[in-house]
Amino acid sequence: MTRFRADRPTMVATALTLAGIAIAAYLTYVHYEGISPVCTSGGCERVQASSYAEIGPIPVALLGLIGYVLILASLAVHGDVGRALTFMLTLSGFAFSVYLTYLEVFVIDALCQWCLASAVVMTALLIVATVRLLRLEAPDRPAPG
Amino acid sequence: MIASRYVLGPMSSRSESKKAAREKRQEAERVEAERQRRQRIWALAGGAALLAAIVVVALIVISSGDSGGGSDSGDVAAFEGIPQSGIALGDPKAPVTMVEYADPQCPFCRQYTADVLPTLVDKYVQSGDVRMELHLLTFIGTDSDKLARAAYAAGDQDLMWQWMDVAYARQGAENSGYATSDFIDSVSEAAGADAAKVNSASADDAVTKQISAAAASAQRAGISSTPSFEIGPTGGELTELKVNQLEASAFEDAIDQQLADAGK
Repeated sequence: MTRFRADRPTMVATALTLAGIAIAAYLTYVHYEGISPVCTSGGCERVQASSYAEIGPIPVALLGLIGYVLILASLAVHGDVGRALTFMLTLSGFAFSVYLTYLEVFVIDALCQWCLASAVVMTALLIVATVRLLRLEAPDRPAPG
Repeated sequence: MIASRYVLGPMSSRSESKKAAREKRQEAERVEAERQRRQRIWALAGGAALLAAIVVVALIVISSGDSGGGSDSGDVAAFEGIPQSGIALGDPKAPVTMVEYADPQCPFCRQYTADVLPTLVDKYVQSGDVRMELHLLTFIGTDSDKLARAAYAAGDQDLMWQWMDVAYARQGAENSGYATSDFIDSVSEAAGADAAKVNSASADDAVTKQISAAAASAQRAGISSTPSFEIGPTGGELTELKVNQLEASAFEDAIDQQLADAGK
């Protein structure tokens, strides 16, 4: 039976995704506890309390957490389909992060450092996911022995 | 012997030819497989991008719909026909009183006013079951003081609740200096108040006393954050109303219990 060892881009993506999960989990906790997040940018409360902080009954922070968990799961799916799935999820996350950042800057007029950090993580994830998808050598190499 | 030499030569040449042909065939198959794989990858990437676009557009459309287009006029109509007197909203004879401690610059106070207050007003204040009081604190900064003064001054015209509703809808960045004279005038006009009278009354000692009284009341009640709430029988002892989320349902249970205790 062959075992598959994750290549470097997959390991980088995994680390980034775990960082994203930590950020999103913290914001989700803050939302449901009704407390203010630790903030040095000065606008975290305003952003978290804005009408854009929820989509219907679902907090955006929780959506982000679900998205990161799905990305983590997709990294465990081998082959081109798994890589395409990761690419789709990170592209969605990146595009939505761009929209949320636009809202912060031009509509809400406040910056949340946690949201920006998540946007940076998602941007890096998209880059790594694109590299994984377009790599032209064998999809996953079996471990020796 | 000679025959064996002639036999070996042609056989070696044939095996080499076969080997070369096999290698050539395998290389062609590898190139073809790689070409097909690249096509598959691009097809997957294209499909993934299309799905991502659909998901994101759907999220943006839903998000924009929920935000209500970012109206900055508040919802002053919600207070029409409801008696007001200074900081109080609702029937003075209502059996239950609910007090809100808020700072005009507090974003969660804004969220409560936009998302929760209209429901509570419609369900409890309109019916005369609950009367509300608004105590404005000014701990966040200078803009809080300016806004609170103007709001209390609007209370002289029995328009304090409309005034704060509009002020929250137009809330700017904390301590950014957004509470200018023009801003306050625009809020007064949107709330239906006489802007000149609001400006004049803002500087009165009576308003200063109201702000001080609110701060003292908050200190006695142990209020350390906003928005905070107290609830109890009108004219009786009020106790802190703690909520875990700024949703109407978080308040309704406590209000219903108070009404039940009051015999309603």
